[in-house]
Amino acid sequence: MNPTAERIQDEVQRAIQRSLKGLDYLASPAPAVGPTPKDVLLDRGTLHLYHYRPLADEIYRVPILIVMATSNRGYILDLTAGQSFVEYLLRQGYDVYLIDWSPPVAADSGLRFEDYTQRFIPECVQLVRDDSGVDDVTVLGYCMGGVLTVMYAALHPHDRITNLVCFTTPIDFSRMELFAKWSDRRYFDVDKLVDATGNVPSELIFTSFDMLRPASRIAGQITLWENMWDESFVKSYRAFERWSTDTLPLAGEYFRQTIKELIWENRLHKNELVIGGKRVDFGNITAPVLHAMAEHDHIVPYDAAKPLIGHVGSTDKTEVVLKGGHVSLVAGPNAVKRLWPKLDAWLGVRSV
Amino acid sequence: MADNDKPADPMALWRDMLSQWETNVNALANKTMASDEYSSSMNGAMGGMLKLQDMMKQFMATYLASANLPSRAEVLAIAERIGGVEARLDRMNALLERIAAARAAGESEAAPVTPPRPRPPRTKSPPPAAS
Repeated sequence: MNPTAERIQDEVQRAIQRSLKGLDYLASPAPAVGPTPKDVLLDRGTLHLYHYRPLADEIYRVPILIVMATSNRGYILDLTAGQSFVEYLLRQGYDVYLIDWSPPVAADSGLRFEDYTQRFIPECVQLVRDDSGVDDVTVLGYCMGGVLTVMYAALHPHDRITNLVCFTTPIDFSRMELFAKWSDRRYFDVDKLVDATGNVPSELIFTSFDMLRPASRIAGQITLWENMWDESFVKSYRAFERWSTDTLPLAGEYFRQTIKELIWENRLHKNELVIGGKRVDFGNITAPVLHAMAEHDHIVPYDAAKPLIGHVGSTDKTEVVLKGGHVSLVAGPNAVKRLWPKLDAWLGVRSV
Repeated sequence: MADNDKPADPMALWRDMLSQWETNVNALANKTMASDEYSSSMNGAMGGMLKLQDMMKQFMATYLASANLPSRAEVLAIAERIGGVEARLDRMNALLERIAAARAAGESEAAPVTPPRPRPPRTKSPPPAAS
């Protein structure tokens, strides 16, 4: 058969498969996510601490505590077998713990930075120490989880944080230009919103992320249809789709602080942020720091994230800028090839 | 030319066009959404919605109280408690399934139903290339 005829035959086959699998797609439930076996060490309100079961016969001495972003579910880091950051770390010989968040309920609306950085994270760090029997801990934060981790590390200089790893962590909030514009204090009454809603609804958080790239959802759905014949593409697309629409509400007071202290006043970047009466001084962070950022991050642009390395007091500090976007940096086929091995190479020698 | 050996991909042009469209629409929308006018009108609309929501909330609270029905806050409090009960039931269910599986496997009832967490030695060193 000549190549063109072969190609046409392929396309016809794909068109048939698209129709058949399109029906399956509509009829089947969302794919299962978070497959790596884990144990729950803490399950209290919005806070959950998991310990993943080691998959290597020999592990590094220093455990890792991952702090997930407060706006999204932690399963992006344990999406599906073969596309799981957690599974990768376990197979490379790390002992992995993860702080995940569930939707804050009405009673949680008063949670503030103080609660996250002076109660939740320190308590989990201690639980990791008790559970692993090791005093040293690497703390890794993703997006706002990175912001909370940085705040925690700066507020607790005497805690033995062995390594600090941040993924796409915003520091200079004035450079998150669209978010800054939408929450312009001349037009946005954050007090009215929080007072009326208690916790900020997840729909608002989802819409804010979605509006940054308004055409991408439609383009994504067209691409899905085109690739409907390809089972692995569909499976991966659905897992990501499920995660991206599964945003969490934010505790009202936490949101109010984020808007006023971080976006309006940009106090974290100015090294002026005060939490629970203590200044968040970047100079207090002296542990080795790795900050990984994405070249095409539309949520946390490079300019918003880059000041971290310059601010921290550490002498051993590394900045990594990789191809990809906010999510593809940490999950999916690009992350498997780029970020994960990079992190392993950096962290392995600092985990003994 | 190597490309001559390959059949033309009829979808390639379409994919390029889609990608171009996505980039252009996102860029145009971002430009529009970065304006003062957009921010003002978006937040104005949200303010109006919140005001309406507040009025409805007050009206409904009065109505529900007069009709001797539970308020939203009371329903939420019950929902929270049900959530807690469901979580506990899930845990009990998982435990029962593990017990059933252990019995089906012919293990004695005294056998632990949850395998102990593996505790490998913390002696790993990075591979030589990385150190």
